[in-house]
Amino acid sequence: MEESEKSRPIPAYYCCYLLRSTVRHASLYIGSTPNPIRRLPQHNGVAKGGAKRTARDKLRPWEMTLVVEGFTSRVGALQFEWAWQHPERSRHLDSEDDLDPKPRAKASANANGKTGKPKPKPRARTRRSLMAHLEDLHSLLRSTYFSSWPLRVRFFCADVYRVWRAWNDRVDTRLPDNVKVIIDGDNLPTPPDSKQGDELAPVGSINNLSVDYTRLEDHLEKSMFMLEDPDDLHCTVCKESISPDEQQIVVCPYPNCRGTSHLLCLSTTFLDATNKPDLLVPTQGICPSCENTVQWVEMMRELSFRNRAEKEARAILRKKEKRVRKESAAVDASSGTRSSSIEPRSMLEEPTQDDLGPNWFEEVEIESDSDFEGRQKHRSTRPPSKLEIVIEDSDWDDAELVE
Amino acid sequence: MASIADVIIISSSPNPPRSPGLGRHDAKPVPYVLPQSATPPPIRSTFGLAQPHTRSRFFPTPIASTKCPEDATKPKKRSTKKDPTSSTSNKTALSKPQRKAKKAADGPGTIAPGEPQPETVGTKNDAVKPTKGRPRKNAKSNDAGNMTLAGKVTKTNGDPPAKKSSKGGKKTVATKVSPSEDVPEKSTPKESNALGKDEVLRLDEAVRRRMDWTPPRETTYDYEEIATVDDGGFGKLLSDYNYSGLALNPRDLVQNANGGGPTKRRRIELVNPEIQALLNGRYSDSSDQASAQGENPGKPKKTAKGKPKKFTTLTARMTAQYSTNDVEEDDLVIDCLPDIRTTKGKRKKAKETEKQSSFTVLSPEAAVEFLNDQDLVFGTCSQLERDDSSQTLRETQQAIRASEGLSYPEGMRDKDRRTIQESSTHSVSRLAGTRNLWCVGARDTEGSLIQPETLNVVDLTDGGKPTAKKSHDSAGKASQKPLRGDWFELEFADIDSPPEKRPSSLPSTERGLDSDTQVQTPAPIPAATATATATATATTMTKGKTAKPAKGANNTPPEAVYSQPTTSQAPSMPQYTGFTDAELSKQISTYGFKAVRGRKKMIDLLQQCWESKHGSNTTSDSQSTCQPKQHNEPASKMDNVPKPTAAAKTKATVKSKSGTSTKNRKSLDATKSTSPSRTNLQTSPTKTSRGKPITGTSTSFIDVEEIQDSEEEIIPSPSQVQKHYSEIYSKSKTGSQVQHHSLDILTKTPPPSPTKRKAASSKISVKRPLSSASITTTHTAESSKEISLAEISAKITQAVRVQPRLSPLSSSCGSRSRPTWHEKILMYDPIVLEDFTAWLNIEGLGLVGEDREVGTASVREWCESKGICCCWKKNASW
Repeated sequence: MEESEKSRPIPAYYCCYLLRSTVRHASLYIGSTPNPIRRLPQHNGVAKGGAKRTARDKLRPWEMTLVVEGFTSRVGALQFEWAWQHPERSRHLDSEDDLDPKPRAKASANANGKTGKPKPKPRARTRRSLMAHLEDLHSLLRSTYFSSWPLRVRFFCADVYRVWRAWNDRVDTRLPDNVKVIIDGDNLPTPPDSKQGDELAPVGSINNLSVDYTRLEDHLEKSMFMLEDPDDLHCTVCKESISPDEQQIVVCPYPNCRGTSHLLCLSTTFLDATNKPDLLVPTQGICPSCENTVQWVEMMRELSFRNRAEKEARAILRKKEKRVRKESAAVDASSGTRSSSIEPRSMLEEPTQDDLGPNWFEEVEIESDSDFEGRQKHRSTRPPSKLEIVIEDSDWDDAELVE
Repeated sequence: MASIADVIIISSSPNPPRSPGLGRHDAKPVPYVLPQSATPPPIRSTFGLAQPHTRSRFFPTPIASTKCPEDATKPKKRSTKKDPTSSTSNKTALSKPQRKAKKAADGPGTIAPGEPQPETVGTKNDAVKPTKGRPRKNAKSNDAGNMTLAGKVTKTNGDPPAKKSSKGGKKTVATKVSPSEDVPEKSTPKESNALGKDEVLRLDEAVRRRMDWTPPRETTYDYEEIATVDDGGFGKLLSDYNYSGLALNPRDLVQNANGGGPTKRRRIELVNPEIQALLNGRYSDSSDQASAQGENPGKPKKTAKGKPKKFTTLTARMTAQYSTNDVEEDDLVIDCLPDIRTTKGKRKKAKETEKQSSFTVLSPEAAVEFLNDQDLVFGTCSQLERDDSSQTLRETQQAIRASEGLSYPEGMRDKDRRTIQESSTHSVSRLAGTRNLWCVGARDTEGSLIQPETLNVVDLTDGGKPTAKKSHDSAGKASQKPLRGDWFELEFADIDSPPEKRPSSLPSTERGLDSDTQVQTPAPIPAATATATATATATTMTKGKTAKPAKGANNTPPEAVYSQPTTSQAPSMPQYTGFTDAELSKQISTYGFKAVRGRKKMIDLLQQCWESKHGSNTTSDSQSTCQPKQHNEPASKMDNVPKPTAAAKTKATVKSKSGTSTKNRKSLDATKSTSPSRTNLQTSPTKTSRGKPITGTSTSFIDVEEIQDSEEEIIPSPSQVQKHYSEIYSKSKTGSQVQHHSLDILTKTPPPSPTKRKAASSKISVKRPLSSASITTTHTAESSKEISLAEISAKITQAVRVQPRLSPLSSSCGSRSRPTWHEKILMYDPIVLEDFTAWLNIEGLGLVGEDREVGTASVREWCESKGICCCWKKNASW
């Protein structure tokens, strides 16, 4: 019924960003996008599709001073964006602690008319100061709704980070532990190594952000390979056999760990480890198999992508395969593409040759289709290591968001 | 020559029938148009045009149709004849210029459009004018027609008429033209064919081509035939249309008379009658159909007879289901009438077969009305389940027993039970509504809470006994009404007054009067009059009627009336908007609610509470009498809506019922307008007093009580029907209904005996007020806060965690494609609040033994407190 709607995997990347005019630092803009690398040129007029608010030439170019990343759904990112843009109308700021008087006052003012759309505040959000935006951001990250989200704040501008620090010093409350603050961009003395896979690592600039699923490839490859032959796999928690086609199976992201678990089993385990019985979604936990601390969202990204975007997942694996092969430089150009498209399948399929599940043929068909597409794509455009999952940016400042 | 002749014919023939101007216009464009027209289909248009004219003139009569075919056939023959002849003989005889002209006219379609014409004109002296006219004509209808004509030619070869045409083109034309308009058209096509040949100048080839073209000719024939057929069909259709309309209309009228509007209204009415039949059965039917049932059982039969007619029209077919239902119900009702409201079995039948369908058909408005009416009934069930106070139960039971013992024979009870069970399916659907329905039902169509009756129950606690008695009395009255003329009269009076519409319209002064009269209380007559005045703008008719009923009727009606007035007397709804926040909070606390955030919410809550209290008086009466009241109300409503006349209204509502209904209506009106909550408290004692006197009267009204029982019984059984109910009433549910549903869900076991049910209902009504009010409030988004969110949220959390293990469908739920809610949450899926709430109310909360329902607002708060990304359905696609 709604499976189509809900079959959407967790987006590879989604962020809210604070845009600032490099010409006039008082001009700020809050937006959200799944792909800031594409989005920033749009704001700067280099590419089509920039927000109207950022269209004035006098204010260009814009820079992304910070991004709040790690949203697990487009809806969530839009909600956060809206709340950040409309702190005076957001429901998530009115219940805030007393530490920041501003939002609090606004919230209380709006408490009465909460149900209806609160009247627009005289102060336009464009007129708000950087400090105010950072205050709101701080409050939002502490709000009950967003505080448990696996968000990261990445500062690209040193001066903005300084303001942030200043505000943090004034606020008694600290950000929740699961919200990471990453100092990035010109905060760093030397540009970081862009080859790091850790999403918490600084990347140096927006253009180095990893906004696709490729960072899942290792995890994906392992899990898909393992789950191809689930017969000898058992849930690390309940010790029962797993059926990846029927159940949500979580695979430990650590490369050397062969831990697989039922989604509910593992979550229960993780939650039991915490002292928060009311919690429904763990933030992290210790893999019962490898004893490593794993981030829940990391596994969920892989799980949802594997289960809901099988084609893309396989495409990513193929790309990785190809890339690896290229790096090895052992394959000639002509047979390379061909073999690369075929080999992953054979590799994956062979283990299951003996006992073919009922879904075997389906998988083959899918694979062949995707293979064909992949081949086409590879021939035409070599480089694209990024998966093309187009998710629109949110330019609708006035759209009626979830509020 | 034949071609020329044809051309002439065409020109002449088309002109007479048609206006010359048209021909000219056509002629000019002809060259250009011709190519387009070369295809046969345009011919159809021409034929159709020509035929319709004649037919239109002759119109409905079959003559037109007959003539048309004849014409069509004749022209065909002629054309065909001409064509072959023209093709063969024309080639030889025709002069080249003529041919050229022809070509110009026809040919353009195929070869060169515009050029040939001037040539043809110049060449053809004789034919010049005609040719111009011809091509023009041809161009108009004939261009296309020409092609078709050619086809015709091939088919009908060597006919005598063709010879004529070939011989003397103009002469033949004149003759041809004279016979019929169609002829010229056909001739024109022939001309076009000839022209085409001329253009090419290769007559042989042209002929061959024509021969080749035969298939298109066939098509043309077909067209003609079709056209003829169509024409005949057309005329027939028209005539049929008229006839059918007449024939159908009477049927419809009959149906309408019974049900009212054609579709939606009918549905509503139908539903209402059904519901009414279920509740009070015959009364409702009587009100809808002829209002005669209440008076005499025989009347409904008449209506039923009228309905059985066969349906010919689509609308009739579509409505047939409903109409049939009505008929059946009516029949049932009729049959039942002698038995008096014991006709549960009949009802059951009707319900089983027809009611379900009708239920699905209900329009939201109708459903709302039904629900409103039914709330009382449901309230009784819920009361039964929840009643904790032993005193009220005992008292109610005693009163019920006493009344029953007097009124009901055992056999009747059995029947009632049966009927209850059967009817329960229908009624159950109402009651059975799932928790979701609860939430929805708690609100009006506009989104405001509707809980007047349910809240009232709380107040009733004190007066539970009397209320029950009252209900019995009222029911008895209702049942008796049909039997006794006096009762009928009373009913009329009550009916007039009760309709909510009227009360709503009633000015405050009237209310005050009512309240005064009520204060006076016991005097039945004054009460009746007061009610009448209060409810309706004291129509003279109602007053007179009321006086009669007061006399004939027992004290009960007046009592009911009194109770209503008392409620109405209760201070008018305070202007909460004028209160300060502190005062509002105090008021809320007095109602036992936790502090509500937001002034608006507080005001809403207070108004609801007040309404509920105010309604409670009425509702308590109504609840005890709830069935009769409900019946009356729907009937009265129905009557009022379709039939504004007072008589209809009076018919619809039963006397005693009318009293109660009037009360309810009044209460409803008062609640709607802002009924006094304070009064409720006051009223409770008054009610008790009322109930006592009523009980005395109740003994006399045994029959009435039976009716009530049946209705009540219907209410309790509903567990089965819950699904249907939920579907049907999801939005329209009223708060009371919601409560009932919840109660039903909780108990699930219908009350063993009607008496118990009654007692339970009364008890429930009494007890509920607190719990039910809180629950209902929780259903509403805003009110959720009142209930401890923590409590509910804990339940929700529990439900979410329990889902996969407990649900029988765990395997499917746990499947990859259909994750459980817990899995969705774990996977950071945005939770669609509507869906999640629906699941919680339908299934989730049931898994953890939580009876209450939750609103999307509370679910949203829960989600947000957990950091679970949630969104509304409309935003889910983001």
